[in-house]
Amino acid sequence: MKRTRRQFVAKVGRNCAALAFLLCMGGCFCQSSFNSWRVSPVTAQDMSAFEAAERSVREAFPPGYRAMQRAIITVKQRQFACDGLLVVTPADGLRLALVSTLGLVTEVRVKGDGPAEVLKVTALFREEWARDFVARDLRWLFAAPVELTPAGRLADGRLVLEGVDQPGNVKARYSCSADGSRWEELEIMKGSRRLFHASFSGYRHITGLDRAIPAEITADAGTHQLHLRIAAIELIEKEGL
Amino acid sequence: MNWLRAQNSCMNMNTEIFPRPARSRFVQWLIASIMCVLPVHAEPEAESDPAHLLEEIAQNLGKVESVFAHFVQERHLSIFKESLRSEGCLFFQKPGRIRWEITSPYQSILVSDGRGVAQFERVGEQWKKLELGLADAVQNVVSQIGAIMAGRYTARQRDYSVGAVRTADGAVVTLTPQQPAMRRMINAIEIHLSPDFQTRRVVLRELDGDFTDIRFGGQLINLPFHDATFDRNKPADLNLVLPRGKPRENADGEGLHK
Repeated sequence: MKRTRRQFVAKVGRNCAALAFLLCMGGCFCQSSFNSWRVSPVTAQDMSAFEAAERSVREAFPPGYRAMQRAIITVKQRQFACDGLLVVTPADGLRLALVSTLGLVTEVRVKGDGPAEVLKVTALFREEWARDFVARDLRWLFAAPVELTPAGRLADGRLVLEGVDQPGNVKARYSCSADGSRWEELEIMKGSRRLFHASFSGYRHITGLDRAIPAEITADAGTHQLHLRIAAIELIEKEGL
Repeated sequence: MNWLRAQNSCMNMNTEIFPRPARSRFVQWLIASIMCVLPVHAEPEAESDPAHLLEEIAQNLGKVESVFAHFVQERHLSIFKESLRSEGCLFFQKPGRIRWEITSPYQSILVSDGRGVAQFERVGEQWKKLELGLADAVQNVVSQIGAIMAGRYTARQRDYSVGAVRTADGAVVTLTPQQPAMRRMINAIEIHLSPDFQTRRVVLRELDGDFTDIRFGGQLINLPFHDATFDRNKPADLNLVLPRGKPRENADGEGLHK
């Protein structure tokens, strides 16, 4: 059976239309999943749980500590294992040195709400990557948010808090367990688009701290995925390095 | 680990050099201090002919077919007081089979069977094989470890010059990068050998005062390894492949686990 040219073109056209439809539907599904944090309004009896949730997010990590992290970074389905040395003090902010099998990748510092500094650039990693990805992820995952407000409860009972609006229509949202005792997720929204999502788990107690810290973090930044474990951590009693 | 050829090949692939931030006075002071201290650490004795010493080392290490050693790796970063410290085991079998396993504070295996390289990370109760990026560069890292353990220092004279001095504790071989791209990343690799020419310490001196210090101890030489030690698809568990034997004593082994 020979197909005529017209039949062939018509079939391709139908397939393209079907593909376009599927892509649109896919886009719709993706969009709806980004809006998965639909919350019901805050009620008066929720306030104590929200206060606990705010504390859980703000105090997820101690004010002064040094930690050795092990990170697996996936970029375009290729994976890179790195060590991170993170030193955090109230005075100096967060300092991170990232080291791979091939050597030092970069060193960055994030201080409060100030701009991120790239302290060391190496031939392995571009300066803008250090600033745009490493320092940004560091701030979002480990810097305590300045101000949090209750946003509501998810359908499963978990609590959602919101940070203050940031330049570029960017906003951070934090989900916590229903009683507010544990920070579980973070999403960074730009308008209605999700830029970044992270899950916090593996809570464990450390010496000298009366609460558990999340020792395992998985994050999806679109451009890359991150699986981070805190391999070792110790508190810094006095300020300074 | 941080080795010259890997970095160089990595740079050739896809990287650029960017202007460095201005060094602080502290960093300049630190570099100057290290430069002053280096000769004291080396404690060189009068060595009439480094080439003769290198030949002696190569002859001794030429008899080595396999090495097992415990290691402690400390990465010293100039802007941090503390170092990144990890511990583990090295398996090396000529000509190019390597297993570099970190056991603390996390678990990771970098393994090469001589034909390729693979990396595994312990996540929870399971080993996870990575879809390794820059595998060629990582393979070069592994090859460099093999070259050092086998004493093949002069194999890549185009890449770096080789110096050697006899010291009170044995010998120190220094590899100095020759290629400009390498010299932008690393000052030197020092290989410290015991009097019987076992590799007991490797120091990678980078720019700005950063360095990585790897100390080896509990070495076992020329013992056979389990076949699955270097399996790139499923390396056998460490407990299964640990060689049985009495480690040769050396000063570094005593001070390995601080």
